[in-house]
Amino acid sequence: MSIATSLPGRAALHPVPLAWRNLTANKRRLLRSSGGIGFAVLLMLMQLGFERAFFDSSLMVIRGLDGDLFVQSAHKYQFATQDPFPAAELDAARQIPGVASARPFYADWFDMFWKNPADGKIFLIRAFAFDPDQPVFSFAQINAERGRLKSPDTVLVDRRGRPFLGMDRTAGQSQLNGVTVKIVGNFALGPDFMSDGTVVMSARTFADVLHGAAGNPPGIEAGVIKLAPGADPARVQAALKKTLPVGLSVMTKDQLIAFERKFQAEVSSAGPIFAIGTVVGFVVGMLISYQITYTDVADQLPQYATLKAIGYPTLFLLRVVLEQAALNGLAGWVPAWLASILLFRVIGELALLPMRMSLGITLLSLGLTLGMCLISAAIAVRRVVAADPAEVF
Amino acid sequence: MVSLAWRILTHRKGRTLLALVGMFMAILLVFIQLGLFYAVPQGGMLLYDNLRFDLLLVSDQYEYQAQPGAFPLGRLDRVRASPEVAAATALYFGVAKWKGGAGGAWPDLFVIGVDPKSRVFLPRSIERQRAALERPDTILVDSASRSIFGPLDTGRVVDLGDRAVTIGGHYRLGTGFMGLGVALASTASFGRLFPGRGPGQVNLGPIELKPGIDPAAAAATLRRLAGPGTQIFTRAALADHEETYWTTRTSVGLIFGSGLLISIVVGIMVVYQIVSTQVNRQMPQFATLKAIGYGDGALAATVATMSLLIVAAGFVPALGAAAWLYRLIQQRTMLPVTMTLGHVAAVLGAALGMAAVSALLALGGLRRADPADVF
Amino acid sequence: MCAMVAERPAPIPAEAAPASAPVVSVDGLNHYYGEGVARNQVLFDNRIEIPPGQLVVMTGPSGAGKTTLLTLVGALRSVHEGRIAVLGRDLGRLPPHDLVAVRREIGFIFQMHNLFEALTAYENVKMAEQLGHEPPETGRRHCLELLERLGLGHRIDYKPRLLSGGERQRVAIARALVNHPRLVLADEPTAALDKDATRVVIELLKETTVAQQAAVIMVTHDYRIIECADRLVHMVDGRIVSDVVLHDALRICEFLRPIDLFRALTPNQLTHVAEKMTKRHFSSGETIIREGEAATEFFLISDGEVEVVRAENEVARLGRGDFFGEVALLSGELRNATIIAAEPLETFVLGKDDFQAAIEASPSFRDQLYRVYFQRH
Repeated sequence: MSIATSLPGRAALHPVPLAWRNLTANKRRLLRSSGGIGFAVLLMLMQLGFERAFFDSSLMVIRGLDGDLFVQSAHKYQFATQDPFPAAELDAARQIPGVASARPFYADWFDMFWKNPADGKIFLIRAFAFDPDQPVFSFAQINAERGRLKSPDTVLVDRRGRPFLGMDRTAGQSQLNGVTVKIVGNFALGPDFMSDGTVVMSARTFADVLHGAAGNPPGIEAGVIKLAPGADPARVQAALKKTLPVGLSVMTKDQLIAFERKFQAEVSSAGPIFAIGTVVGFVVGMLISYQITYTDVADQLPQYATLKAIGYPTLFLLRVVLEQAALNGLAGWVPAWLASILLFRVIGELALLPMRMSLGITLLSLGLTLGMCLISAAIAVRRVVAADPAEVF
Repeated sequence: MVSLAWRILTHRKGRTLLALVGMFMAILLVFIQLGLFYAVPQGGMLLYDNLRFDLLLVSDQYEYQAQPGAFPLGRLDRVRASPEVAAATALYFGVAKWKGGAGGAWPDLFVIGVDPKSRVFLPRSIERQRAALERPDTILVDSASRSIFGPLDTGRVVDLGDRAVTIGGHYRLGTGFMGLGVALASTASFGRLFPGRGPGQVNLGPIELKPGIDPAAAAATLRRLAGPGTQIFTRAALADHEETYWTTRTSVGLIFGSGLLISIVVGIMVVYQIVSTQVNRQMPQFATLKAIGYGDGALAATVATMSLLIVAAGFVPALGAAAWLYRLIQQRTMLPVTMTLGHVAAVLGAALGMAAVSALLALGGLRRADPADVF
Repeated sequence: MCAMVAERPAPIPAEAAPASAPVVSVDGLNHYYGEGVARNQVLFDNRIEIPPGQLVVMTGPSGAGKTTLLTLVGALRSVHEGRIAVLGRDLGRLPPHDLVAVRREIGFIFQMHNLFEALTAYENVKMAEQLGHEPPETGRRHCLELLERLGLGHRIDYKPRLLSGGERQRVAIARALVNHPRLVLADEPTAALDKDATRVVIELLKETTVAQQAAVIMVTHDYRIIECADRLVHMVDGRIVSDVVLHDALRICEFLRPIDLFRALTPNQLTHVAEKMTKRHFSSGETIIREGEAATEFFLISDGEVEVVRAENEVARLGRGDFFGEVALLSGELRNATIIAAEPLETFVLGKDDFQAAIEASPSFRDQLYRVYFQRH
């Protein structure tokens, strides 16, 4: 039998991939359905991306601090708020066994006014400061250029700061709180949802700018503590808590990040807003998917009933429909995921947000996509389950 | 045509219900994204929406409400002397540590200093509590302040910065982007709370004009009076300025703008899917109509009517659901997501647009309906 | 990609049934639609037995209950009252899961072909084939051979949209026949077909009944099929009002089946024997065999009685279902008795050569014959 040996080939030996065939039979319909699902997925991906960017941007500075333990005011409710304490408190910390270094970190979010060197307009920005000989950041660019901060009234500017600030490395000089400062370098950090841009300087310049040359030395916002090799963080943390005044708290980096995250989650509107966006995308996607499955099931009901009649168990049909829905979801998810990577880049650059595709977002969006498709298919498949094979006659 | 479209829609109720739910969700989606898109600028307008003024005198360094810059009181005095002006009030902003927060936290309180005698605040509750505000070192607290401030009972004494203050009462205005908590203090109390701030450092100068005065014309006169280093906004110009600030200077525009854009596309996809499904399943009937002599125009009108009916039927419940969801979002996020006539009109327009585009696309298929297919 | 294999319920062992047992046996069947007050009886005390190898055509006005009966026999509905045995299994006593297993052994052909538009002709057939227990390679060959025999060898990769109505129905028939079912149920399978396509379909179904000894039950109004039917069942108002076997061979088969002598034959052998038999009538008093003559034929009485006369004495009377003439054929001697019709007689006659062939083909038949032979002598 010549045909039997030549056609239709090895694939013909495997069970017929019915769900796949149903999905791909009509290319126009596939395009339409995956497009509908894809945009709903894209909506979810964008919301998830924004939410992550929001939290990431608020955590970037903490993550960039090069320390194992952090001392800050016990009254702080978030990292980015003013509650300074004297730098001298760290002297006691340095005496604790296991502490390799305890460095002062100065910061200000409320009183630093930057003059755009191009148009002279004045904006509130945030400022970070440290002793150039005791670096506190792990940002390579800041560390590379910290030597230049030893000259008085010099600053590094954030080239990812919002454009209207004019934090241009070529500007040469500008004013902070009326004090003329020299721009000696730059770094890329970007704004968060509180601040538009950042300036980094030495502790001395910080004092000059804040109070004028005659002011008292400013307090520090955090003590950045590094442990000696082999020291037990928990033990050192306990010892620090005992030694330092009650008004100060000591946290590991993870605790500090958790502290900040908790504040953002509880107080800011970002979490619920993006959650609402994600839920709406999910529901709409579910609806689109339901419409697709419902239409397909309705169109092929006689065929499914026929399969039942010739001896396929209902479970098989259930699987075909769910599998087809899942494949449909994937067909929407893949392009949406790819598009979102591009969109994350574009929007991340335009909005100066740390928009990055992460494994978490990838898996969550995939899970949500499959979830919405499978849930809607499970609702739509009831007709197949209920289909009476006797009706095909 | 209407009756035919109606018949088609009511013929198989399951599918039509599905179409309506789809349309409902598509419209609701656009409503929500639109609401969020405008929520942030509206949040920025919260204070202004509760102030009685026709013109606003501010520093020429004015960025937005919470970053207004400052100008000398003398400028406001000059403006107040002008015959067009009924009242001109000085508002002072300061941030101080509230040393009585929940769990030992010292959250930052945004304090607004105001002359208790002024009638600049719209909420009646503030005017009624003028006596309390006039007492030294007594503040009125916005009851929308976050729970991190701890109990805000009247009579509670808390260290605010370096000074003990008494909670004299409450009002509700909303905290907007001023901070986690907001309080009102008399100018005198404010001066004691922020000793570094001279009364000359005014942040906002809301101006009320005498009845019948044209704000735009008055603004021009008063600008000359106020002099350099200041600027004067009419209410409309101020609203424009604030919206522009939030949508262009921050990430808000991009974030919610992209959400809005995608939601409109999703809406179009949903509506298109609905309309094309409705048209496709009626294809034999349409072909029959063609066979018995109906023209393309009549069929197009039927499809258009069908789309319109679906939009109308989906819009009304979506509007109701959106209003409800807006309230919910407002409670959960403190964002002033409010239903405005503008929103309703914009979404209705978008929905009709989506339906029109979909109907047009579906008509392409309809034109292919071959009368010979009936047999 | 997404391999899907249907769960295969284990085949249910049929109650030990001889091959000649009916494929379908319906007894006292009542059926109702609706519940409570709305309950409406649609089948009334139906009774029918269908042996292997019969093409049964069911006719009757719409609403007569044909399709209901078909779906009941097809294990697509649960039995309300009465008994249906299909392929030796009592459907009324089977749980739903086992009904599915029974359905796998039935070929279904529907008026609407119900092919998946997304699948090729081959794949549509394969959907049914993969329910069987053949190894993949054999299964593939079956699909392809069947499609080729149905004249679709060049169209196996076509999707239904590109096939004509007749071609689609042939694909559907291939789907029904691919697992060699012993029972095929068809509902108006040719309603949408032209003359040529109808002929192909009928030939194929006919061939199935002959070659595979399958029973085919077909609801149709197509006179072209009725001509080819072995048996016509007519239903009116939920009752079988007439049940006519159309061919002698089949009638003979039906007649032979309950007779002890033929019980051991396979349906095939039985059909074979029946086909070689001819009907012969004798009038009362006519001599059929004369003592001392050479033996040439074997006789089976289908109606009437004969006298056995030996040496001019009546030694026995034989009646319906009895046979005579075998002794001389078996022993090779001359007739040892004279047989005379006692009343108008109808017999089925088998020639000497065919008789010998039947004996050689079936040792059990021979044994049975010898047993009777020695009992008589």
